[in-house]
Amino acid sequence: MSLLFLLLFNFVLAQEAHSAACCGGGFASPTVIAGDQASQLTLSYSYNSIAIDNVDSSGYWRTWDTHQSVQSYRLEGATILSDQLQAGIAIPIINRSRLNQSFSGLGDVSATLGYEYLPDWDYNPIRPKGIGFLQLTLPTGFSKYESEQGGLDSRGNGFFAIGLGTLLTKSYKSIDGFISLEAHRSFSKSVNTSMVTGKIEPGFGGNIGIGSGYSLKDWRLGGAITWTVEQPVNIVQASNTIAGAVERYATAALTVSLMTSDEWAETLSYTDQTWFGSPLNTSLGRGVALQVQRRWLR
Amino acid sequence: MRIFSLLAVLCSFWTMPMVLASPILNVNGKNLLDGKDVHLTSSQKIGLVVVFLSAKCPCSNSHIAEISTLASQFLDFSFLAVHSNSNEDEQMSKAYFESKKLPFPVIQDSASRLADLFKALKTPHAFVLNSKGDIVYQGGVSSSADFSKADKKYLRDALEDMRANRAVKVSNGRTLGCVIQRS
Amino acid sequence: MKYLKLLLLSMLMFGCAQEKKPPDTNNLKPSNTTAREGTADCTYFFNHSRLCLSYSWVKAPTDTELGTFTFKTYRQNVLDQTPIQVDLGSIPDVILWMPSMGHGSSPVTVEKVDTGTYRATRVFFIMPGEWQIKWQVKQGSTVEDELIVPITI
Repeated sequence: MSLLFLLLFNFVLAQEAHSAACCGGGFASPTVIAGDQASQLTLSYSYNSIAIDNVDSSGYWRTWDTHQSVQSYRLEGATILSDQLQAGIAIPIINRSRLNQSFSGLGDVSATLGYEYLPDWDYNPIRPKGIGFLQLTLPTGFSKYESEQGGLDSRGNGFFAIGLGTLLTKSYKSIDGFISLEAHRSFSKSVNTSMVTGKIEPGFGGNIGIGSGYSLKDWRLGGAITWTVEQPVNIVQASNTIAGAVERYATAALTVSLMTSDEWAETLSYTDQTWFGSPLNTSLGRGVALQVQRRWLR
Repeated sequence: MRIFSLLAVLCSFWTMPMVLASPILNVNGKNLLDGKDVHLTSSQKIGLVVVFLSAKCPCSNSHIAEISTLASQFLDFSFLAVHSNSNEDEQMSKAYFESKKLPFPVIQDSASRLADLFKALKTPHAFVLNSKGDIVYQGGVSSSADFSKADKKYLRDALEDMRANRAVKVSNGRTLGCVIQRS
Repeated sequence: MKYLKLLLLSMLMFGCAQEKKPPDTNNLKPSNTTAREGTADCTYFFNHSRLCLSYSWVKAPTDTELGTFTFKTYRQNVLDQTPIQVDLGSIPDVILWMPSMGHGSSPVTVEKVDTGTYRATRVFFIMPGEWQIKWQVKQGSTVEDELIVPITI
């Protein structure tokens, strides 16, 4: 029981960090119950600092002496609707700052519907536990495309988006592992700023994550990597089209979790986007996060 | 094509729990409490109830009273407990189960033989076999980790269905509890 | 062969990120495209009016400080290609845009100094990389004329 529960943290935190370090973007991680609890409430705080300001289309890394930093608070709740059906919601608050400028506000609110299509009702050494999810993201966060501050005041994607994905988990004695797959489609919107006037047309994006952990009594040490890719976002104006570029990065996470009781657990994590992958058209960040979760058992 | 292959693999996993084990006609082992051999057959009575329990798991402990009550109320069924956790000391486990005064034997399954045979996952994990040895119910004893908060009593409902000669309405229940530590 | 491909794919996926430095690492100062005295180098010109543009930095921006540049719009003398300053239809908007990242920067202030001569202040690039400076001549909200110059910060 505890293994899968702690596993959830690793998955969530790895996913939570999978937005590009600067300028909003990324896709909110789904709020799913991976264990056997009836409901859960999670509060997390993260601090991320941009380590590499820009990786361009040719893969060149550029860094300045001063960087953006991003703090985020995220409140998530999830509950089962029936034995295998569940729903969740996530509400982030984002603060982005650089030098003496700082912007705060609501990020992209997301709602998730999950279904345990591969329940672990009996023992099988090979079969994983599988949860499929459908996620709807609302454009409550301000996007970088609309920003007149170079994306400093951006707090999310700024699009309606639908995502579909699955989380597969498996534990063997003290070792656990997971694989997550997700694909999403964002929908176009009009924009009218001093920078651009036209229609922003995003495309598809996706994430693949893998992770593993080792549990010792009430502690768990874990690691995960999530690869993210986003299709170019084009801006169609009256006179021309501004072509975007493919965005790509990988987020690595190291976590330490503690289950203080059946109802409470805490996780501390470190994430780094400079370790893996071949990033393109993005910024790379490093961060730490603390997460506290309260569970209600079935 | 690759997507279809992945879907096929996932679907095969999905059907795995639906494929019940081959008929289990006999269950035997050594009684943890007195060291004597235990041999029960599913054909002796209407059916055989096998429950995997733990000496340490709180979820297992919270269901002990219900299982004992069922054993006294459903005398037309045979009851058997199995202790498969390899990380629980035998002496400590014996003292625990003795203190619970269970009205049925407890088999010490040190090599996880019975756990693997039944595909038991957690404690408590209950299996109900009919007289032909088919598993007609497998899963949790109730719908909660804490029996006092349960709104559904899967094991009791399955026994009542069998006694009334009805098909068991819920044949698979979610197991809630501690994962069995196999040897 | 397929195992080799699988191995290479695994290495690509799990491969450690390699920092790749750009060819010219000391490139914080943008390039200077001032037309030389006595000639009219028309490297940059507006799409519609075909007027030429040259710009030069008065103060190059840094990661912490705003920059200033002046720009001149002109046509080439038919006889000897010397520059003849000409006003644009209206004071243009100057927009800093980073196409690969999909965002701009804070608004630039533009004022007219003399015939065909303008000054852009509060020029700030929020991050290093490949940017575009866009000059847009608008009639209301409609862009009538535009010029885009790439710049690497």
